[in-house]
Amino acid sequence: MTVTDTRPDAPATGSDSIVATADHKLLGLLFLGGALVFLAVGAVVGLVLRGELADQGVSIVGGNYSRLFSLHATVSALLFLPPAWIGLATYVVPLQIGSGRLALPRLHAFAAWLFLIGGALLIGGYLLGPPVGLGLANSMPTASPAGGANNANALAIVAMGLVAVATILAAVDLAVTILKLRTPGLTLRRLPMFSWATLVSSLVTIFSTPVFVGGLVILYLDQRFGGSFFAPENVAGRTVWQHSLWLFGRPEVYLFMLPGLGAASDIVATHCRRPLVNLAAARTAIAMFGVLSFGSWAAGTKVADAIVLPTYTPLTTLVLVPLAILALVWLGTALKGKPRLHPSLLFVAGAVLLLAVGALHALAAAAAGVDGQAWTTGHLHTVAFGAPTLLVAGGVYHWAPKLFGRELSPGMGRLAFLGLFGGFFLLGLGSYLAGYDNGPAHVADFDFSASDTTYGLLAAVGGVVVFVGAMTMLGDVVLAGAGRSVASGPDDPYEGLTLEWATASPPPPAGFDSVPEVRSANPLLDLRTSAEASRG
Amino acid sequence: MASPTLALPAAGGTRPRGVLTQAMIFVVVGGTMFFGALLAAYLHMRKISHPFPAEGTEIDEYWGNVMVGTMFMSAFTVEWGVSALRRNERTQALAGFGLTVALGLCFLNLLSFSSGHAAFDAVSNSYGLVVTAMVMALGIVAGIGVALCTLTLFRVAGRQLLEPDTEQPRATAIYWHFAVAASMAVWYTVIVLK
Repeated sequence: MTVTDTRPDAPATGSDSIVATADHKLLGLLFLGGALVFLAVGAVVGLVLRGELADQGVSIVGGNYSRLFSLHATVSALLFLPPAWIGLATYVVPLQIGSGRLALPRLHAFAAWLFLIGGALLIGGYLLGPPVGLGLANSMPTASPAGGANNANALAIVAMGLVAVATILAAVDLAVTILKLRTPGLTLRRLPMFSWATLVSSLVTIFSTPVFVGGLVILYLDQRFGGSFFAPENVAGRTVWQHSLWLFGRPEVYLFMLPGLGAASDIVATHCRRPLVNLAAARTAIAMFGVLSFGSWAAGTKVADAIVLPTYTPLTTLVLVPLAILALVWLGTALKGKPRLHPSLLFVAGAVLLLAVGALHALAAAAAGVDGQAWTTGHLHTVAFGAPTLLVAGGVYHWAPKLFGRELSPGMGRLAFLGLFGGFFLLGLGSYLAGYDNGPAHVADFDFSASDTTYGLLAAVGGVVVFVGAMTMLGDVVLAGAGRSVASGPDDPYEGLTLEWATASPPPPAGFDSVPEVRSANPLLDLRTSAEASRG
Repeated sequence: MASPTLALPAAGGTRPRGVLTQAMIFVVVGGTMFFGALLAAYLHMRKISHPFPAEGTEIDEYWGNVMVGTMFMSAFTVEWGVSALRRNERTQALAGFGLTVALGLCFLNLLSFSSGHAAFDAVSNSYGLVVTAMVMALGIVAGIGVALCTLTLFRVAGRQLLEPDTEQPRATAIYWHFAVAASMAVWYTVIVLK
């Protein structure tokens, strides 16, 4: 029998088992798969809520509206968009930087399982009983019940803490991977845009999410032991709530969108078959977006009464500047390139349109002096959730050859696009219009006028269309995922520009057989150009 | 029969240099923001609540001073351990990390004792709640630090850490310094500023 006293090197897979794996590809799929399952949960609950508001009276949810609303908002905010981006980044970033591995793979595996367990416990908390005072989408806190809250509350808060810690750990690993494991020649200025956006997002996560965890610690103690810290009359508690726990008082809300801006930049460049027209401007805009996200902390306590979220103060409205710069860069790239009508490009176009719709409604609301909270619900679904969801879908369709070994179905992709884009548009429109009529938000039933009923129905139809779109995409992903082990598509189906397209589809366990030399931000374009030059 | 190994296989080849240090710096940044949030909650409450702290809420300064003194000493012992490792002096390194673990355990013991004998708890009032949150967080941070130092101690004892591979002890020391700084920040805010 041989006993070794040194640590043997193993292939990058670590283990073939998904439970023990430290392979970035499997971990990425684990994060992404979990996020899509939680999306399905959030979508079903959202559909039930919309169904309730489509007609007069309370007929579907009974006395559970607040419980379901809290579940819908929390699952969508914490368990879908952030982990979906982490999943895509975990899979794609090591390939984009030519490393083929993560810096701290076991830490990342720990984060992945922590996220899945935390997510399951969070939903378990809502199943166990009605958690009270946990509406993180509400700007004002709810006092804890006398004598302490129930077990459902405690479980839900602890679960949110686990998910937040998992997000921080994954962000630490992604940032270290990008800073320390780049292939020679790939300077920070040459980083692919998705990797750049991932680095910025990771840094924003590392700086902002611990503050949320701090708020959760206080919330847990207050709820568990029946304290009065978050009683509405305690001004100090209200400020702490708004700056650490309330979703829109925190920089994290920008993280829904930030990685998507990088993904969209890569998608536009790849499918317009040319580098971005002004890479430096795009890179600066993404960094600026990350820095401005901290403006939500400086927005002051009056934000609670604001209707235009998250563009409620001049400081936070500045976020439109980097978005406009990026939109111009993408448009310029499309005009100078030869766009290919790939589903991922449709998703990017849809996200830009939703953002434009949101901006127009913000202007209209400012001019009309709208004070109805239903308007905010429309803005939330169009801008804060709809546009980033389209970008996640775009990223999945774009990198599908690497994720699943083959492209997803273009037909189903277009159908999913129509469902998600059209659905979010209708859903937002119904709520915006109800808002212009001063309709309320977060209620099981409207104080009825004829228009409220119509708008509620319009938003419910939008919700159904979103659900159909999401399920179409999920079906496409599940079919491709099932055949991943035997799939072997072309390495570079799009004539891509960045390093992930230099390896096999799906990539081998070590990531790369050999990494091309990097002399610019578009190493594969350089390779093709020099090959053409040598041919003739 | 397959050959057994003493250690788990590496997750993906040799780890590049500087990775652990960089990761630990990010962890410390996150931890600083976490304690910053708790301290900001305390200071905001102190600014707008009257009287502050609420009547009948007293904190024992003596135990607070002893605790911060204990942590302050451990900042030197952990550096002793790391610099001894850099010079390949194993016995000195064992002493440095061993003393750090012992001082860390003393701190945890004092923290537990003093919070058990405090004149307030989490439900007394807002002051009690936020101070309890800070004490809990300090306990967790110091506990993780003790675990990391113990791991390093065992690795030194088992001759797994030899110069020039001192990155893991350096990362442990960075974390420990963060724990010391956090305890001093809490002490300054709660005991000195009040």
